[in-house]
Amino acid sequence: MIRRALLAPMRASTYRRAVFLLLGTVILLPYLLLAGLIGQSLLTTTDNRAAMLGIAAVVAVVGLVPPFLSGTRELEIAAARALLRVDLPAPGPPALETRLRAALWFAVHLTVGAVIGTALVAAVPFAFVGLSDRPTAASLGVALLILLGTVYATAGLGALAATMAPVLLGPSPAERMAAVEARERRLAERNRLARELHDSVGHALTATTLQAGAARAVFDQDPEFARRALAAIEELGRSSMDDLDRVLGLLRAENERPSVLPASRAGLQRLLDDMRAGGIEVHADLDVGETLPGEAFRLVQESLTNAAKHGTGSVRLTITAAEELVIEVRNPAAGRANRSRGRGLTGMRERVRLAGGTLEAGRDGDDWLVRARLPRD
Amino acid sequence: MTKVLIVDDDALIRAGLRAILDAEPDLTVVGEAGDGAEVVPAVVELRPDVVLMDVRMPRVDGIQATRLLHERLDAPPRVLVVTTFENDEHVYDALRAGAGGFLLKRSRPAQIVEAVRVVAQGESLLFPAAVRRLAAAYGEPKEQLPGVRLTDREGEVLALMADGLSNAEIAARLVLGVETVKTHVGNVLAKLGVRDRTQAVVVAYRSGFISS
Repeated sequence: MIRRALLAPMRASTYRRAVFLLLGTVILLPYLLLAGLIGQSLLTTTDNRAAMLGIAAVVAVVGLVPPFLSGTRELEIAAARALLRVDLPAPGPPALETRLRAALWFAVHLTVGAVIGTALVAAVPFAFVGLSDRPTAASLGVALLILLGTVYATAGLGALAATMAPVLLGPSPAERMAAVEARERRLAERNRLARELHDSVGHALTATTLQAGAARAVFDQDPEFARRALAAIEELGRSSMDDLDRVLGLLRAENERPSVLPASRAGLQRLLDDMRAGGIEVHADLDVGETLPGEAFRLVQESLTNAAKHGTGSVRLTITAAEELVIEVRNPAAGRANRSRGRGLTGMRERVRLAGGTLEAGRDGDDWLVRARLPRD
Repeated sequence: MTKVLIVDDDALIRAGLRAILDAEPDLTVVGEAGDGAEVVPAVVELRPDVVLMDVRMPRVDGIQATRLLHERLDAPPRVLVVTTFENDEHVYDALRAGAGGFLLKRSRPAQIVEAVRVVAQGESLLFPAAVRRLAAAYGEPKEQLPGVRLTDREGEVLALMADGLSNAEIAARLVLGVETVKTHVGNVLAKLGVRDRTQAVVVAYRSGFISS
């Protein structure tokens, strides 16, 4: 038990962590060099102290920049992942609070680097010098203490670094939340595609199976039906292959660039069905092709939900696709204009703007009307 | 001769079902409908014994149409729900709305024909395992039925009905006469306030008379 505890620092992880700590020493060196140079100049120069102080101030400011750079944070994260074996998510653009934490980590890294560097570069050689020069019991003891102390200090500080890295280098709660939301959006998109595939191809396969079964059952009695069934099966197979190509193509494309995937006409129809199943009366007048841009689909989804939440009576959805894609959602407005509705619109307006379109919303007679115009590619 | 009405929004499905059923000497398709809204008028006009009912339809779905049939008509035809996907909670809703059984569209022609016959006769439960699975998955148990008390014998009969046994099989199992079993079945249906065995099993699961 005691032996194991004593030998605990002698592990591969300790050496990796030591390298990480020494990295701090290496980064510290230019700072030390500058500090030494400036300190010496200040001490030796007597006539031009003011200019010297000015230079020192500029150097100090320049020296303070690196800890706050996102590149420095990325470097520290890469080093912590490789050498401390800490599980950190890939860094995104850091918020202010995240930058401050990273800068604190940088400072701690350099400080610890100074301690370990001093131990390795000064104390350990000193211990050996003490040994070679007429070793006494006392110098032997001191040398042993220094060596052991260095080993244990390295192990302890390395372990501490591994514990602290996630705290100081990890994402902030807000960033973590954003990452979770992004992941959920991707999952929802995937689920929508899966459902679409299941519905379109599943439906086509069902019809195919039934037609084939019927054709077999009546093959001799009614060859004309069998012939028609074969033609239908052929057509269904062809159109399902198109569906399959489209959805699989989208899934493949999604791996390359994450984006909002287009929705199919059937997907739009299902959205309306779901709305109706939820007790919302929706009249739809849809002039769309086989697919609808994903952004437009989400817009329809949100404005219908908003209309159901804030309005009264039935909702009328009109989509026209000419030079622009125009989405109109209209329903009788509730008694008073409500402010929460405006808040829901802000996000929608922003997304429409990003997609290169415009969004208007407001009262139109007794109705509440949301109209979005999106450019078509 | 069993008269059948086919309700499905997909013309290919309707044509396939019609060909399969019309090929049988004891079955005849008397009409088709493309939406649940057309079902009640079609039934009033054509008087089918069995309605093959799709679940998902654009305007009035199969669940709503089944409910309407049972509300509007004194002697509604038996409803056989046809569905694309098996573990579909809509199928359970349709059973609760009064459908006498359900059938997958991908079934073999012989199974489809047999299912229509079973539902038309109402003598035994169609696909008991699947009905029990649906009832167990979607039913909220322990929904008490106030004032309903089954005798021990009726409880036994109900459990065997849920296993899909016909009257004759239940009679053999319990060593009773078929007529006696028929009386028990009639009492169970009357006490639970349902029209057929499928409904009895669905209600029995929900009310906790049977647990999975």
